[in-house]
Amino acid sequence: MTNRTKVAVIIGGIGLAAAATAVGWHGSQPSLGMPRAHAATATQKPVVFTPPPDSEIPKGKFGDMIKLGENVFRHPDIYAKSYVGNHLRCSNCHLSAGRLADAAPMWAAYSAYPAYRSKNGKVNSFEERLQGCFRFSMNGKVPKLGSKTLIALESYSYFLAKGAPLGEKLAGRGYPKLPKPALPVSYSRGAVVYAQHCAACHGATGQGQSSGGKVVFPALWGPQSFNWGAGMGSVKNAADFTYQNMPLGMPKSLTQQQAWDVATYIDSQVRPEDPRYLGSVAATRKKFHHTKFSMYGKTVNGVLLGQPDQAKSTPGVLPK
Amino acid sequence: MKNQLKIRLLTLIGAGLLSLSLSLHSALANPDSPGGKKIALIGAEPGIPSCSACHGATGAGQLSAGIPRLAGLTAPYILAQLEHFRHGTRENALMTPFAKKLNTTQMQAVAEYYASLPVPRPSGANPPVDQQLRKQITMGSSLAENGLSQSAMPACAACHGEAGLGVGTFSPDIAGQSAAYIADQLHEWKANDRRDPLGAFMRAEALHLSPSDIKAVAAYFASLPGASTAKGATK
Repeated sequence: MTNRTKVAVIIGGIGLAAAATAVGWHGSQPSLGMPRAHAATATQKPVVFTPPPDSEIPKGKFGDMIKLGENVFRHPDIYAKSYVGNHLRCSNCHLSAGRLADAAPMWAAYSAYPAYRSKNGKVNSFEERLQGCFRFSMNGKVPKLGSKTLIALESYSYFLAKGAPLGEKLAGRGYPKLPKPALPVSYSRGAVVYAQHCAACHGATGQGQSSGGKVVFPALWGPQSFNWGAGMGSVKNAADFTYQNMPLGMPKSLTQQQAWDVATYIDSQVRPEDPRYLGSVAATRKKFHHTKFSMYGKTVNGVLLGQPDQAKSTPGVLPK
Repeated sequence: MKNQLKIRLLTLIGAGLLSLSLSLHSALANPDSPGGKKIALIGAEPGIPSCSACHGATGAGQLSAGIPRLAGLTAPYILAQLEHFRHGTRENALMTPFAKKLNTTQMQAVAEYYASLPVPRPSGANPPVDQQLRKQITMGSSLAENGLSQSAMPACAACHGEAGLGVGTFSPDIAGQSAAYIADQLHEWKANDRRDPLGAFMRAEALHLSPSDIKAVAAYFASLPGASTAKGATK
């Protein structure tokens, strides 16, 4: 693994002639703050960065915290049990446990905070951003700032970001943005794409599938999935993610139109209530879902999406 | 490597057919036996040798020879493979002639029989003594659990589960499966073996793997005891 990373780093360095001589990473030796990323000088090309391998996790208490963070990331239903209300994993959306470029890698997210977010209209610390994942994507309870769970996740992300430059645009952050679809998005075309390309893993009714009692393929809708406040509930986010990363191992095998359509289909299903619910779907849509990318509050197949109790769940309580 | 395996298999088949078919034929020729069990243990007429000659009476396979364990694989999976052998979508010089002699009902019966058997697994109690094998297993566990983020190769566990137990009809149970068999299959996918629509996933996956990666993941899954003792599932 170490060698592989080194090769990747070196190749990256060669690609950027300006930085070729600055490649200073020496395998498993401590990096002494030597940047592993290669700043582009002449052009404003995004910076290519490779996170360190697990073998570089330091020994001692900090290393233990990093490892705990990685465990939470892979198995929140075990390591952050009291804060989650479904069997999704952080690594379902942040692939390769937060390492994979273009799959919302944690090394790129880490250095992007603190940041202003229009979602809540304030500057969010990284920990506050993590709280949002628990509240919405995990349909959970929010761990307090400074709680062990958040410190562990932050430590793991810090570790992955070690050597990444601050204030630079990192290649691979988030999901690559798709251009607008050529045709208006279509729920019914999306249903066909879903049946052909997604149902084998995620199940015909979006319920996901397990192996030996452990969820392997996450539920995409219904009571076991993310709630209406989650980022993946945005058709745009879901389309960006899907085009780049789905089906697993076959990135960009769907057309962009298929990605838009299937994201529309998935995000037009029932799911747990938005925890910010304001007493009516209309008011909640107006305040929190006032965008064409949210299906919340729209009527699809005769169902007004977003009504409480459509997909009954108890936030922060794991379903059996 | 492939030829060696074939010779290995043919020798085993010869020996197995003689000993097992002869000894089991009289003992188990019970007309009340469910069809699947009969085909599995004593073969079917005309001229279909027993599956157990190679895969063993318990369906445990002959792991070191690369003959896979069948016990505990799902019936739809086994049936699908037999159909692939019959139609040539999955190429295998040994299995194709047998599969061509079975009709669909017989295939279904034998698939259900093997699916019903208890699954023999490695105990997982003692780590292997062999240093090199231990190294391979460690390397394999990283590939299986993390994939290769640099080349966007998903973790094997993302489809087979962290304990390697497989998912429904999508991915087979490979915990404790023959390492030689897993490695052979990965090499075949890498060489663009078509097989079936789901094989597209394995072809995409195998393309990322070097020969030493293949050895490593094969050794890792062969070592798994099957229970959910994968990292993270225990604490």
